[in-house]
Amino acid sequence: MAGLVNNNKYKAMIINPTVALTLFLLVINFISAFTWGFGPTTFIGLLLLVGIVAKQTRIFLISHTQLLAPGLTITQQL
Amino acid sequence: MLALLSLLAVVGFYLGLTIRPEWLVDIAENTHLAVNHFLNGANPYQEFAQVFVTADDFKQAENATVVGGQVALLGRPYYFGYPYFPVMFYAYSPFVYAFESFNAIRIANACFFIMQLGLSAALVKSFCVKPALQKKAVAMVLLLQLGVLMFSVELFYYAMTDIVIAVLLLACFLSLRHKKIILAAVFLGLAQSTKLLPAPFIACFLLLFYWRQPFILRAVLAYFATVFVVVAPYIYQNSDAFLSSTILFYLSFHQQGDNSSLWFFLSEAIRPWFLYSGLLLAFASVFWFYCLSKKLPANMLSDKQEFQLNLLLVIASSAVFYMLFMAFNKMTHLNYLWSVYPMLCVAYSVVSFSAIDSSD
Repeated sequence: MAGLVNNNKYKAMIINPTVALTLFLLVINFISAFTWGFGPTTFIGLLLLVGIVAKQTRIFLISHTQLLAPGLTITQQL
Repeated sequence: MLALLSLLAVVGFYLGLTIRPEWLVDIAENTHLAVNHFLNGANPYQEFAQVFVTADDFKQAENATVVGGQVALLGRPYYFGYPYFPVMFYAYSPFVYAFESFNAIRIANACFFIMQLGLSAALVKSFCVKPALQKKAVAMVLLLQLGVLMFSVELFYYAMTDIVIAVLLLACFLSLRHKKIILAAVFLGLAQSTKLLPAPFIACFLLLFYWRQPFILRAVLAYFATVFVVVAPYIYQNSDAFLSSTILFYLSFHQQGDNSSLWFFLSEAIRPWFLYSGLLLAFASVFWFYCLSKKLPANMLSDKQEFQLNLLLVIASSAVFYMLFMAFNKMTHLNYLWSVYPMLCVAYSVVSFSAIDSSD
């Protein structure tokens, strides 16, 4: 059960999907406003996207694998 | 919201067909030329299929010599041939054959875009187990693609062609998700036979995550066999033309850089450090994802669960790697992004809804 507490802690760190969607779309639309790309804006935008996805994936993996047991779906464990 | 964005995409398609039907961006026009050469029995790498570049553009380029309008790249004659690999123009051939005009490329892009949406939705769906989460995650992956307002402009006005790679990569990952290993390797081989990048990186990352699997040798063979079958006829026909138009063109012309990259705005002293640190960061990101996968409690994971989580990590890490690689490169043209963008959307949708199917 101690593990479950940790699991919930990590679950809480996952960005809410609506916020995640909005954030992602804001950044990608910001980047793509410059058709071919423009050095500084494209660079910042790409790093932001990478950061958002990496953070979300890391938290997802930690929260979902620490207690992962065969036969149970991850969502069931949460 | 989805219906509204789909409607916007349809309007974008209509406007793309009607605003300047006689014009295409250079990449698309090159593809149109290449298809016509191909349909007329000519070699697109030996004929003119590069509308953007002239001999003067190579005067400052590395690895290039220009003598009286003739260009040689690393000593091999350059014919201003088609810069991409054969599958790119093969993919557009039926459409150009049927519609002939420049709009054939736009109509093809509409079909590829529908395929991209369908494949990304199917891939996300295959990761999910609960219907409620499945619907939300699929809606998210569609919104992430339809919600890019410039996408319609890129696909239907400029008529960028990188979407072919995106479709092939999604087909590769979907096949892999269903354990159709050879089919996945063939799709990856086709993606490799479309354009120089990003397929080699993805192949390497798949190897990194799956090298212990018994199927890996068969998969590698199928990948190389596919590339060989597609590319070998052109190398056999005229290796100089093929190499100079494709790989050597990238090693020379693209090495000049442009203002799409941050590198362009940096001082000469910083530029090399910027390039090397970017490369280091990109590879470190994949290593970071790999280390995350090693943290999975192996004894508690079934083979299927491990396979699936690794697949998700390959999709995420390949997209992240390529975006970092782009960001720190001498050219950061956004069309490079569109080939991996759906992969990023798939990974992001699955992890955002915590919707992975880990059942046996």
